[in-house]
Amino acid sequence: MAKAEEGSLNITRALTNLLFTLGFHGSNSDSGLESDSSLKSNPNPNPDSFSNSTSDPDPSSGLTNLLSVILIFLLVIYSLLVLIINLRLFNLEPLYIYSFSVIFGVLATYIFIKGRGLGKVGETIFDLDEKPKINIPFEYLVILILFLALIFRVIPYSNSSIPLGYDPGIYKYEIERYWQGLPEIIPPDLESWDRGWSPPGLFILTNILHLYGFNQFDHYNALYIFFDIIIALGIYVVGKRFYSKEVGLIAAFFFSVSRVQFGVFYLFFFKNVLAIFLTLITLYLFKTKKYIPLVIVGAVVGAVHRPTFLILGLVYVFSLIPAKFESSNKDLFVKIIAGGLILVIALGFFMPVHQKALSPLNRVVESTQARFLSVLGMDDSLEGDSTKSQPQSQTTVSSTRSVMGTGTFVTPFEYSFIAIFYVPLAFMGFLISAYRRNFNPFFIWAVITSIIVFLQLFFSNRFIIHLDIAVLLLAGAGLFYLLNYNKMLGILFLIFLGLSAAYAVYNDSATALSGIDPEEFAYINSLKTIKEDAYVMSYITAYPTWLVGYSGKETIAPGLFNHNKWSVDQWEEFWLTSNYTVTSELMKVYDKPVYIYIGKIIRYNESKFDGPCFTKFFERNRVHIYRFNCYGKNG
Amino acid sequence: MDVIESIRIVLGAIFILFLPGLSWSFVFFKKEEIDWIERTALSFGLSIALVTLFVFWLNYLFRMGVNFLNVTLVVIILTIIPVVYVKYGEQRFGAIWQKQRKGA
Repeated sequence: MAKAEEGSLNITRALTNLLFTLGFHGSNSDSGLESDSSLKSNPNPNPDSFSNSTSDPDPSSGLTNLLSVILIFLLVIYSLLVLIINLRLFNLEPLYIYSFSVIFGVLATYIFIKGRGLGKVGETIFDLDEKPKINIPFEYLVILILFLALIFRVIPYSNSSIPLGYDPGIYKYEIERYWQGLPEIIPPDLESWDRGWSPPGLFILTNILHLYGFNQFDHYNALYIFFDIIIALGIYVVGKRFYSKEVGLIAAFFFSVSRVQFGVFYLFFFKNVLAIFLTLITLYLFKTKKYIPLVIVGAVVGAVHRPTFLILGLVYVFSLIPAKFESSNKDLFVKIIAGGLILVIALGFFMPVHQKALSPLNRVVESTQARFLSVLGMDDSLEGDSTKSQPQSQTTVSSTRSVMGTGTFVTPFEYSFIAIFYVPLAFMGFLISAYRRNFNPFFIWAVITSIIVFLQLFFSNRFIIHLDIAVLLLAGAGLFYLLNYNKMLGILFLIFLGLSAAYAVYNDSATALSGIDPEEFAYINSLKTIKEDAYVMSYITAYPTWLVGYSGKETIAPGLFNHNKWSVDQWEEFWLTSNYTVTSELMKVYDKPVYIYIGKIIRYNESKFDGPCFTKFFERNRVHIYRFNCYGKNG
Repeated sequence: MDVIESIRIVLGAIFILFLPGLSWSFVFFKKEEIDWIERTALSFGLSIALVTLFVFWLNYLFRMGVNFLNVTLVVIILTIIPVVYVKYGEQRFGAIWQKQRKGA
């Protein structure tokens, strides 16, 4: 047994010596802090044993060397996972990735606390004021990160000026709808669907900017890119306040090369992007205890995007619990009052015409309730509610039903792949935060959004966007601890991760296609030339947002906008029937000509339009537009 | 898009999205308290929030028409108040607050 132990010690010693030779001797030699940390962690210090642990025959030294080798081994596996996924070498189960993240997080945390073979020990590496000695000009690096984020977001526009994603048309329509209401900031005659779709915050701002020359949607597209990029700035400042400058910088860098965040950008989640930036600023003000601006910025989050406001609210409330122990009663009282004011002022934005926008709150409660009952085996009504299992044509219809769907974004499974670069690091950052009882708002943010996402409570896929923001910050903290433990190892790993992630996001960016086929985009735009007062109908859910924004016509679509007069069942009947009489009877409910747009994506059952009530108005390259002539003849 | 229009858009964006927040940031954070990156981030955040909030409430409560002139005046006032406060008022108010604290 003794021989075997000695053998393993020799192996680990040899490996560590090799690593030493390669320069992995961390801060032992460059800061002189190691002996201080040793003094802290060991009541009977023996300076020799800590200053040169490799030459120490002490068995505990062998153990710590072994731990360091394990850390290197984990980082190698981590790197291999990143490469496998990045280069799509072979398929991996998401479960493996999450399991690895847990194992990596637990072991790395343990090694940082107990180990000392390669770097500093325990509390020293967790001390955020105890920086790895990297003399870097932070300001320039932040600008570089912003520039990097800008490049990835501009590349898709190098070949086409058509906006990305699915939602631009809807934003264009809504922004222009608000212009019509000027000089009122919110059009008093805003239709019911518009009130429900969005709180007014973003459109108040776009209306104000309209007065200063923002007259085309391209200007707002540029504004959207700008808002998305400054999230990196927000991440840097909160990272700096809650952790350290280095953490902020690393997290902002991860943001700029994050495939998840590029996905958010691609899908044109304008409200979401603005609200996330404002939420970061709100939490910065929370940390710095500037309560007046905290109330103002926090309230505007509520006016911009309801789901983000919900997360902010939950994070704020749960952050009061650690605040109860850390701050004075007076401070806690002020925080509670500030939170109340945020809520009151945010609700004020909904008073004029937007009460309907609060109705999704009921669905949040219903959805959560139903999910819990489902998990407890008391109800199975949610089975089959996943939007991904339904045909595309029915997705929107289902989303209008009472229980909330998962929202359009990546699933938790897909998330494990596209965020592989930093999820394991984030798990480590999370565990170390927990170990150090640093329950800051981003720790709480990660817990809350993880519960929503992984238990699929409500709108769960969309909350991955929020989860990812917390993950980026925790990953920044995780890498900072690694850097602090062993500078060389940390820098090498950061470079590897950065290059891999940049390669992946560049691929995404370079291959990102506009949200609609350019030819179809031109056809939809040409509908503006039709002079008669008419509706345009989207046959499937791929086109409504483009039609409403770019056709210049009132748009009929399943479950969307103000002009749909059919129930879910009637839409299903319309899609499935081949019968001309049934189709024309359904269509007669509309009192104006209807142009039915059938795009390239899905075309089926067109025989239903074979009859005198329909004229084939346009036919080119698999795009068909039928005109319904028998309008207003119902009954 | 001609040059004049481009300049108008860029200046308009700076006027609405940056300046009010920048001047208020000096009220909430002293010069040495934060670095310029933090101040820039705060300036964007505060500007977006302040302009949105004030224009909305002025329109809703006082029926202020939202047009170029009114919004420009509101933003100028929003930008100047903190400048005046930082330049002249801070010492005075600071002294009064200190007296009140001592009294309490």
